[in-house]
Amino acid sequence: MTGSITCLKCKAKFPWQAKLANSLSQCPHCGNVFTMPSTAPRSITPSDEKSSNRQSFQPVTGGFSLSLTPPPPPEVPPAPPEVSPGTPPIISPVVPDSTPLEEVLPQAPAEDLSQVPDLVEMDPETSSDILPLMPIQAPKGPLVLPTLTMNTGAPLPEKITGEGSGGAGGTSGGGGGGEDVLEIEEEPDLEVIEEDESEAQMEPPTSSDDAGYELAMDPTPPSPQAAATTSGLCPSCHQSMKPGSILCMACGFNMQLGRKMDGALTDPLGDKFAGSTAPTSYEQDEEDQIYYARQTKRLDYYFPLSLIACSIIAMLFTILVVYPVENFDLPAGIGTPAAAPAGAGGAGLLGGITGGAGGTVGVGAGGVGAGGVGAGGGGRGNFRGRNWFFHPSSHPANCF
Amino acid sequence: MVRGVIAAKCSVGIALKVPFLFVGMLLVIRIFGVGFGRVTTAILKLLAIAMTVQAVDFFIEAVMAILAEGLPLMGMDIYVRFPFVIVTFFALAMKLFELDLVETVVLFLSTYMLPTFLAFFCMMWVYTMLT
Repeated sequence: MTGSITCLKCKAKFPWQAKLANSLSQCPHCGNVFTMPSTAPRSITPSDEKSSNRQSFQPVTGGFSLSLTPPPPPEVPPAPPEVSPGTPPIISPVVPDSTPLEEVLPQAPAEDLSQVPDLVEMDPETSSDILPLMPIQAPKGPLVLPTLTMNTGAPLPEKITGEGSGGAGGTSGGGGGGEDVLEIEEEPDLEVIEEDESEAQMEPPTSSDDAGYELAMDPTPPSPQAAATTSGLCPSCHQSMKPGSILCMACGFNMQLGRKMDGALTDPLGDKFAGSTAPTSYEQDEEDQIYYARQTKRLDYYFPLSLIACSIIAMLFTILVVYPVENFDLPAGIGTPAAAPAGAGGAGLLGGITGGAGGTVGVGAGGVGAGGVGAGGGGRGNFRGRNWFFHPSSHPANCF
Repeated sequence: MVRGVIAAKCSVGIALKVPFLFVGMLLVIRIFGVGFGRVTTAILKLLAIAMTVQAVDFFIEAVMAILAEGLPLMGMDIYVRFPFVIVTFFALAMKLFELDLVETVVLFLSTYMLPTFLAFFCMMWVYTMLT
């Protein structure tokens, strides 16, 4: 038997070889891998639109195409195909098995197959340089096959729809004796599904799809807030927003939803305020925002200003009251206190350090020099008198 | 006169701390991407931190001078003053800027260590120029 196989990828023709039947073969031109039919097709030609009775179809699997030759005048009377409902639908013209195919189908025009290269035999288990044939996922929509007209003249059903992986069924062209059999080997349960895919695509999503995005508050009409996006101000916090934006980055107000997002209300100050939880109403939400605005203002302005004021007061108190100015060493060049006569102040300070018995002589004198002049130990007495509340031993009661 | 000098010393200390605090703030922003808010409020907070820390430091210094009764401490009072300064600085920075510990450490080092290094390098530069 002779016949040729056309590679669907590069349209190259190859002779059918019996030794390669039912084995993986590879096109030497393009490397396309397909399964060699078990029987030799009568003639393999690309689909020719000019021939009315000759139509081509693509098999579900494999990389080759079969084209049936135009039917000659019916030598065998056509008969309806026998398809039993319980058995896999083997669609075949009623042709006696004993009838040779040559008698049923006319011999195709002889092609010069000597010039075409031989196929490369592939071993599916050992060959690693080719990809294995992968099952093709059948489309979800109805699978419509073209009308096939066998050489017997019996038309095949116009539509054969499949579901699941029904596309894996192999198609083998009938061999030379006239048995052109279109076999669907797997997933025989086929049914026609009349469904408009556009309607399925236009169907709105169900509520379960949005279940994970439910927000805490009930939605409100977004019309007044949506108009505010053009003004550049957030209708909730009146902060500047980029015109056309949806979400206010200051307060989390969503223009489309007309309310604040739930994530923007989670305890921004960390003070465990009751309003930090999801609000239950807009009034409560506004109260929460007022609270947070007040807290933010307190933290940004009032608290630092209070700290500055307290620091100034503390430093003035320290300078005027606490700091022992007698012990402060003036930088060089600034000078000595004017009230202290030359030499007398030093003597008083020395007397104070050395533990002179000046006692309370210098209390209220108001100067290092005065203490020093008053007595030898006046410096110490003056120091104690001004700072008695910081030094227990220098309390006036202990000085006597 | 003496009190005026002491007040000027405190003012200079505050005026030196605020720019370095600002540099430290920029450093923290650069490293950690922390938001310090608006510039005006950030500077106000930095000023509050600097003045509070300076007030605490100055008060501890005065108390130490009283306790020493005129004896020269020769800088040893820093071991008493610095813990108070650190506690005050960290508490205020973490409260006002909502910083974590690492960010506050960077801010503190840039505020207190950077002036020291700069002063050291300036002193070395002047010394080399003179010699």
